[in-house]
Amino acid sequence: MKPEDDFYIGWQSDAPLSIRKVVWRAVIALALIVPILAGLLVWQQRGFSGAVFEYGTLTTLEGELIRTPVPFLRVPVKQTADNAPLFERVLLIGFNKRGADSTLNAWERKYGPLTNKRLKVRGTLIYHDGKAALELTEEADALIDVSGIKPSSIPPVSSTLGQSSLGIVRLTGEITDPKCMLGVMKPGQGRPHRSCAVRCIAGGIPPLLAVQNRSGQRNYYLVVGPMGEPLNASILINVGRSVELRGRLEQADNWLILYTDSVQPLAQAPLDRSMQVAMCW
Amino acid sequence: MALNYLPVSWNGQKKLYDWTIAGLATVYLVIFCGLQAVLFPDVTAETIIIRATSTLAFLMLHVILIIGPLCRLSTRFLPLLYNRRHLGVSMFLVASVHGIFSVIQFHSRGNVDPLVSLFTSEPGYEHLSQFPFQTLGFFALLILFLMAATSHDFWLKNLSPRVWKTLHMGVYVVYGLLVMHVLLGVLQQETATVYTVVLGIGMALVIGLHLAAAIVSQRTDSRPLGQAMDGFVEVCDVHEIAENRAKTLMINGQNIALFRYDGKVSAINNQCRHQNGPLGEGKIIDGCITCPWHGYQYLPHNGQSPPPFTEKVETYAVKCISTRVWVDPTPAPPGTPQTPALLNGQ
Repeated sequence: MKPEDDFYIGWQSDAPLSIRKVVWRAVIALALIVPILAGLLVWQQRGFSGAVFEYGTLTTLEGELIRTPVPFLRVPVKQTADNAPLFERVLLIGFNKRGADSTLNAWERKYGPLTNKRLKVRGTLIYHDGKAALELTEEADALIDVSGIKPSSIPPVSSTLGQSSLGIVRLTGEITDPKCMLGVMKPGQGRPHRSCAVRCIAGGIPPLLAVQNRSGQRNYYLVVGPMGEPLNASILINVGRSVELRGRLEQADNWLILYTDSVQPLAQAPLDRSMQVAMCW
Repeated sequence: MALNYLPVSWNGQKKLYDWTIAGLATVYLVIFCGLQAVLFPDVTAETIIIRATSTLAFLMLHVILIIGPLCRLSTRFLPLLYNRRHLGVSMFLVASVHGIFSVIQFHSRGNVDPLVSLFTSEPGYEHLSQFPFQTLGFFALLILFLMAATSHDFWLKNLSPRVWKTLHMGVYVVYGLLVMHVLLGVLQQETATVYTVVLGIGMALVIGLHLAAAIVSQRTDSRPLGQAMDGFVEVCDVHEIAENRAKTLMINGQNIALFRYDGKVSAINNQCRHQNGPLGEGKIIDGCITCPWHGYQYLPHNGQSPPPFTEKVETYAVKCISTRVWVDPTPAPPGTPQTPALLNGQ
């Protein structure tokens, strides 16, 4: 390489003019690239759902506790024309990456069995696409009123009330956790989120199957075993992957619950296939 | 060059360099975060931080990696190299924010320790598409930490330039790990073509410039040598060497810089004791060979830094026959005085 006539020494007070010119051109080029790149990388993102996590805001809900197959608070939302109450179920989720069971067990140790009892519970709402969950942010203190255990104007209902069978189905989608999917994280599914979903489901949060149709609309299915038992441990390997689930579908008020007896990962990912082809060459 | 270790030996050019880094990084973060908030108001603050810092750190890594070959291709880019360590440490700090926020976001507050979660939550090590890409980022950050922690001249001196340089070549391992981290991670979710194109351009720039610099260096170092006699090898005509400049040679594995100055020719090892900078691309200033990278200086006849500095490089015997220069490629111990070859007829 032919050395340029001007010579640069960093510890001198200034650089020769010809060198300064080149460096300033490089800095100007960077100054142009930086905002363009920042804008391009943001602009081309896939986007984020309108799911909501009301972080920092506690909401009090009153309703009937249902513990199986997943913990819900069944909340009356309005009445029909013939004065029959309509209900929505709010999925109960523990603080951090944990299911609600440990908190519910603590409550029951203190107050006795609470299943099908009416409770006033305070927590942080998470909601999206007509589905809501309540994070029991204050854990043991989230149960603020147990006096609702006494008979109220709304008669207690069994956990099967409001549930109806929709038959045997086969569904294809991605297993994630409802806490993140409904709003705690954006995005709450997909490859980068996979390890978080694994942590949440390993911590006891019931798995959720997110199914998207061709027009981009999503539906969500809480996933349990054929008898309603939790599948958290056995399903971890398939979290964050495209899977096909088969089983009995039931509607529980505004939620769909899939009692699955088969979780099958879909065919090999394109990345693995192309890698194998490349290695065969 | 300094006799005592200071946290930073500030001078005007370092300050300007650092202000430029801080300014450009701030512009990037402001634009990235601002546009996120405007175009995607549903995004969470954690995602903004994770994405802004990851993309900024990756951009900074590309700049860091292309500075080296740019300087090999033209010495006019040397000011970019002079304070590159500050750019590297800055990049590590930005990457750390990304790494820490990601571990908190994805792995903390679960049923196992966050670091255990990092390595066990995704067990698909045998499938490329399922490979736990976050572990790649973890190891990249670990290497960057080692590089940032040892970036000071104190460590350069105490680890020895060879060990230090080897450790800091880890930046290429980091680049490979991060390319895979991006490919197997976010690009599996953000599938817009522009991301693949931008990554491809970045990789082409880094690889292309390194290849170009290697080709140029190869051409420079591998000129055919002349005859050998009494251990001396005929290397060139004296007129091929510019006054106060050098010609670099690779003879029997020895990387030699042959300097012409004041009617004399001397040969020393081409690698600066500071960071293995190419002394042969330096210049004799005030009677001293001055390294183009950081200005370290050596006397041409004995390869010693002028007192009170103590750096030394190997020297080589040189002689001139007519206008032809001959070099004995057997290195003398660092700092060994050699009688400069006098140029005939000058």
